[in-house]
Amino acid sequence: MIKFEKVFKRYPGGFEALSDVSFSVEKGELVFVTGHSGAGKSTLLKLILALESVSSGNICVADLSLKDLSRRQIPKLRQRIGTVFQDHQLLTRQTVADNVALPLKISNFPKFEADRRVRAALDKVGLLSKASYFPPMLSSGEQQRVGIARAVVNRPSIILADEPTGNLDPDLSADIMQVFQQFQKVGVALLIASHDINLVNAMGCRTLVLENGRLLK
Amino acid sequence: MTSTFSAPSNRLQQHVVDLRQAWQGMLTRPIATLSTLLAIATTLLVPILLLTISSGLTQALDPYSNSPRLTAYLIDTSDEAMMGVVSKRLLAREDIGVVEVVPKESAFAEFANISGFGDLLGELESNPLPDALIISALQLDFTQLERLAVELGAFPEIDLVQLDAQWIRRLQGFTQLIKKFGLLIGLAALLGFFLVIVNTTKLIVQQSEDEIRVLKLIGAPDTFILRPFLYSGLAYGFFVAVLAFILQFAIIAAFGSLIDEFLLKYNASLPAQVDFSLGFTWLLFLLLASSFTGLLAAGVSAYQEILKLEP
Repeated sequence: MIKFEKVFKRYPGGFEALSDVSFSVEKGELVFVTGHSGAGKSTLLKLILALESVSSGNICVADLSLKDLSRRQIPKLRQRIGTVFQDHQLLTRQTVADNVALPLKISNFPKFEADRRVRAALDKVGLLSKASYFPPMLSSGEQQRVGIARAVVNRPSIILADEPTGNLDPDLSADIMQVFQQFQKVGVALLIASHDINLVNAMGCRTLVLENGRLLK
Repeated sequence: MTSTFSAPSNRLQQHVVDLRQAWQGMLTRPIATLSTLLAIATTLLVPILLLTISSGLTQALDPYSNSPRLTAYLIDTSDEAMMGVVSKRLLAREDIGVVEVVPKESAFAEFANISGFGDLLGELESNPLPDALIISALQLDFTQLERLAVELGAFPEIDLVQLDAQWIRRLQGFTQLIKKFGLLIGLAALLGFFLVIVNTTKLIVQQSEDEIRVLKLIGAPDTFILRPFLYSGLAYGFFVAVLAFILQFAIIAAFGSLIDEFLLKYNASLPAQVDFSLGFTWLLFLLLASSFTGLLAAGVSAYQEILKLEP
């Protein structure tokens, strides 16, 4: 589902954020990306979302070669990926339910089906009772869970998560990881960037370790 | 697992939601929205009023311009037989529809009756008025009518030909001027409206930068992001036109009688009340022009701004 082939990413000024990175994540696989701050985890996720372009090498995501991707195809790529952002990226002037429903609105889902899926997603992250709240009324952890509900509501084939449990307590972190595992079981490919070594070890999944833009294992 | 289902009815449903959101967005800024609407509607009001007056005058003058009339005054020695001969000759022509014979006696009686100088006129030794023929021409323009007048003036039995519709010609010329002026101001007003909506939309997009970036992050195409702005522009255009029409109706209702009085000074035979309404075609045209201008302005402005914003 995700394939990196000798990917290099250099920023103007010569800084090399990723250097000769090759790996793949298959359907139904949950893979962690770890590394210190500045190791290249966020750059890696940005490349998958086509927020940045590769300097050399190629990335294939859900059978799409990002090198050949036109501007018009980028939204279609992002619609196939459910993304949990570290800084939540919620619309503050829309309710929790409306935020979660956004990917469904973009995909023109029937309202009835969308409402059902939104309720189910919010129920999974324990926020059904706060569906009519606005994001600023929620704690950072709750906002993170809204972001997770939004990422999974469209039942994407790939889920990317940047520090998804960074603002959550251990119990909630475990619950969220369970949600991710449920998606893994039905064939979704998950790539999770995290520096929470305890969580990574507890999950016992394949782990990619980045250091100074290079993949160590 | 990827869901890409999108039936047309769902798209329609989504358009309805976007339209409602655009409307709600306008209502969240009621004072700003109303002042923008009023400012543009007032600008559009001037050309609409000019076009309304022009349309009303054109309708009022239409019956006269379609059957323009000439009055031919016969020579002093004319009599009933001469009137009959001339009348028959005129009716034989293809460009003349009706010839009304007005003998000098009946003209004198009518004049004495209307003028109120009956007693004084009774003192006259003889009737000073000539026999007259009122000639209604068939579908002639003014140039052709003038040519006909010259032709009839050459008849030995006719002393003088008077074109009754000179004032209509002047008024029609003035009406055309008002119409052209109205259209010109209308175009300028629409351009002004376009620029106002471009600017308003640009500001709204800039205020929504963060939201647009989030939408792009989760895969919203530009058309999805653009849609509420398009509906907003469309709604502005529609309501501006409606507001301008309401103002126009109010002004015509308040001042219509003054215009009627003015027209009656030109000719007593004009209808007592002129119908000052633009007519359905004009209303529809202005509504569409205004709505399309709003839509286009919002689309151009929002699209340019949206392209600049990347997550």
